[in-house]
Amino acid sequence: MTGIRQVARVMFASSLFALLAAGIGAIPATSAGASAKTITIGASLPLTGPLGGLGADQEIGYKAEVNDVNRAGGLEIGRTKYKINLKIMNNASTATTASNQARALVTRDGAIALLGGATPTISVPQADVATLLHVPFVTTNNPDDAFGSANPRGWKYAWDMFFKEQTQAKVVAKWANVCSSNKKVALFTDTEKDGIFERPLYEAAAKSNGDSVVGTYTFPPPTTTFASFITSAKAAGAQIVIGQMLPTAGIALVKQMKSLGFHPDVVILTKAANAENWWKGLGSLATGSGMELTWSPAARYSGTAKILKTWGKKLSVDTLASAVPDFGAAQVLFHAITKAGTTNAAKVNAAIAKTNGKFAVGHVKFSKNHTAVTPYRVGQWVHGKVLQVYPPAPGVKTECPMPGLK
Amino acid sequence: MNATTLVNGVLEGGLYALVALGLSLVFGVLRLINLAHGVLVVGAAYAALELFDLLHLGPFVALPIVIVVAALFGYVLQRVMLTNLLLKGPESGIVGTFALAVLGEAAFAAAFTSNGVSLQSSLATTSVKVGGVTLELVLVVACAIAIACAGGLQFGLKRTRAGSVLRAAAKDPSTAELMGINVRLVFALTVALAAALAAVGGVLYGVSTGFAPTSDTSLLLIAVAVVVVGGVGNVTGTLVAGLAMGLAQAVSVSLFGGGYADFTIYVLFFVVLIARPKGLFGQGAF
Amino acid sequence: MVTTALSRAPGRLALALPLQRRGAGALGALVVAGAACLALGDVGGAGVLSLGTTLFAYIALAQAWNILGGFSGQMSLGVGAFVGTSAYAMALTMTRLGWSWPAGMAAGVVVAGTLSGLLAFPLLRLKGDYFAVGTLAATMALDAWFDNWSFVNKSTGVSVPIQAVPGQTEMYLIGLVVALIAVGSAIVMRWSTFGVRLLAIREDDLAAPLLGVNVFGYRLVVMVVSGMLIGLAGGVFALSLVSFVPDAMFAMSWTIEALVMVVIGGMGTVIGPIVGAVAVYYGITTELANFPTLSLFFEGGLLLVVVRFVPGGLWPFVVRSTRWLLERRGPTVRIARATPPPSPPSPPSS
Repeated sequence: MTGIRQVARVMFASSLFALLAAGIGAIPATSAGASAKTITIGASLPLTGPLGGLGADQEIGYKAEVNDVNRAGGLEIGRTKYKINLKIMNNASTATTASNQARALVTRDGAIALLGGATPTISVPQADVATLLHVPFVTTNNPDDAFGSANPRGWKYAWDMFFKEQTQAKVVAKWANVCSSNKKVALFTDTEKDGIFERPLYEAAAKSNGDSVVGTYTFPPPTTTFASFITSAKAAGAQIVIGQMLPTAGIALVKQMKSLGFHPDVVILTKAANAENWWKGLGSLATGSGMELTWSPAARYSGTAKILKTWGKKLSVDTLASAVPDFGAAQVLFHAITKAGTTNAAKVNAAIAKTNGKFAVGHVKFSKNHTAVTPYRVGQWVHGKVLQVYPPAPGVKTECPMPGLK
Repeated sequence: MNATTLVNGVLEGGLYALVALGLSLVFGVLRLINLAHGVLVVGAAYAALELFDLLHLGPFVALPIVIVVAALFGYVLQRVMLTNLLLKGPESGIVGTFALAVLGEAAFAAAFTSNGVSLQSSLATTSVKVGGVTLELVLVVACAIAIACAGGLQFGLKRTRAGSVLRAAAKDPSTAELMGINVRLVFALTVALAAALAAVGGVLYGVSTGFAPTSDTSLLLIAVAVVVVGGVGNVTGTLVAGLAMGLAQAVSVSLFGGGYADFTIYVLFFVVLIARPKGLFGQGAF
Repeated sequence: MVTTALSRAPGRLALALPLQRRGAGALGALVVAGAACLALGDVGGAGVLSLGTTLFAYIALAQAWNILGGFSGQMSLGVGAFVGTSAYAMALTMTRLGWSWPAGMAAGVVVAGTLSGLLAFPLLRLKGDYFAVGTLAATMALDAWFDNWSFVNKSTGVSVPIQAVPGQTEMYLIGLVVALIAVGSAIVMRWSTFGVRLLAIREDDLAAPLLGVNVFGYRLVVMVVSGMLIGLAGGVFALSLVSFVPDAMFAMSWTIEALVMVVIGGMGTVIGPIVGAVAVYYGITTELANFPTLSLFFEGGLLLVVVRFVPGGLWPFVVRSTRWLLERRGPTVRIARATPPPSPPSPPSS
């Protein structure tokens, strides 16, 4: 008996070591694996963990553009077509892993450029790696100013294309005022980087509309109990609820508002209401709640018809709204590589800087702080679907006051 | 700071206590910090979600099924996995249950995506008024269930034969074995009971708020704090500590703003641990 | 249960050997290994350099945890507290005071060591699981505090000035030196009079004082050394991460990573944490990440299999298996009479 156990253990351990050894042996093999007609692009994405929803949409967007290019014969670089090998790794929403993987993608897998992961927590450490290793890096899903200001010396190899926080605050506050004549705003923001950044901007935007902010509530991201805030906001007579938080917190907040009898006219919780599960979790309670749109079929950008034709049946508008910016970021990177006519990092980087044209997310042109502003819109959840309501889209009526909570 | 805030804070504490009871039991009896406890709680919520998707069962209709499944799972888990790990020392138990937590998170993400979800029930959107104070009905129910579970557990441990067997096994496993107690069976039943309690907490948590595959970490941390403050294995202590944590959080949020909610919990946790290592109410049953 | 596990921890045999010779031999081997790593960095490409840097930092982290958890028997769940404070001290002194990275790293080590010393006073009063839970509480409280402290930019985080970050080759060397310091400290702690007394405390902290061993003093020293070594590793992590937020630096995941590496590799041994760091960081974290969706399943599954079927960790298992195979060949090569051949898990003590 002992003998059998022992043999089994020896076999187990030796197979484990064999696996390791095989892995170590594979290092040079993978870096040399890029054949003459292939270029490698790396992306370390938050496919699981708290940001997993965003990461999954990013994977859809990046892969779609790579498939498009490869199906058309490959990416043209100096009159030769190269197949793109998109190497995706899962950083499980951890910054340390995201940074290490970005390094490995470049140094081990020979990626000539990187596409970024969602949110500054993931993206900024990756942009730092790109800066240190001199590799072009294009990302999205990072609000412009948070990304632009993350490196006080100014980015060199890292580029971000997304909306500007100030625009976000203004558009959200404008729509709130279209919807409600009550000028009292309650703000709910979590203490993640973007929440801290956005809160004063929401406050300023509300004030510039002549609204008064009757309550500002901040809380750590995992918070899911809001009774004290809701009671306070209700007592202050707020009819406009603007917030930014994770989906779990947002779902909890809306449920508890209903339970405690707080029925505001307008509820828009950015970041929280972006996933299909928003409707699944809240059901008809979510009717009329606002959602941010970083892409919308109503916008009619270049390729909108094609996107709708390819994906319209498979993916919902809210998924597309989150995946198309990633699709666009990949477009911008590949366009620049073709323009540069080489995979030389400095030349590709220079070509990215010169980007000036129409892509899936609208017109893209990078400013001095290495960010390109893409449009920001507000949509509204009605019957499990999202429709653009601000700027107003033809044939769509805003549902106000929010029916779900009445 | 008004009455509504404070009372709802205490009620939220009832939910914490409910989530912590199972952890307390396993910690107290098996001397194991079960890092997979949060996964059991979240898993129960996902199980209820699945039952709704498949059979359109409401969360409270699904609850008995979820409890039975969780208990069976806990029993099997202890039999095939945890017993062997515990024999290898506490660090193996921690690594093993951490591995289970990783597996659980991966399974939830694969099956249900990483986005937050929630269990729909009219209970979560209804309130009751008691003397001018508005209370969330789901929290009232959670708190009542927490008190009932704690009371039942306390009674069972102190007044029944099964309870004395359990206490004997916890206090001195070797002697208990010599006295003819099947310690392995007792331990497995303990984990089954803990999993069942986690299931109750999980379904109520899922009804009252949103949850995601990674919600288990914050649930686990709060539960650990509640268990230690109340005294490991002390059922009444766990209940009181849960309620006190909820109240302390509500008070600190009112005074210093929401950013300090976690800070309050963990400072309280640390201070109590240092001042009274056996918890505010002593080590209780074991 | 605890005592059975500890008594099976390998290395008891070492006590019978002359201490200095064993320790000096280990230090010699360390120097050779260091030189080999240096040469590897020379011939290896960028991939080896960046992989090596992180791996070295993890070896230091695991070894620091092992010194406290394995040698002294104090299970800590608070690694993040020292990684975090060290990384923050480094970033703040570099950005606000214009210090260079070596000075910043030194500041980090001092701050982490000081914190460790201060925490030792309340925490060392706690026993077993309570010590573990206490370190966890302290870390969570620190994390929540940094999230709200405007001096450290709250949850927005800080960054090391990117222009001050050394190049890849230098980073590899820094990592190597940090790992060597950590392993060297472990060797000294293991094979010295200090180490023997520490072991005596670990095995029986009630009997040790009767023999004139100052239990608190020994544990205090170990906690401070462990904290400083974690601080060193934290400095390397800070330099390679560049920008970070409290939730990342004070995370529970640092503890879990260190603990998992040590337990997988072999707790209470000097080589075990190195083996564990290589197996976990290289094998699981790096290689399995090539399968994005499956990586978490693999990670969890592998961990379970190892803790379930390889008691005591990989390294002691290899040592025992080798001895066992050698012993079967014949009495002439029997080298380890003192340790019995590996046995199946002991019957339940429960």
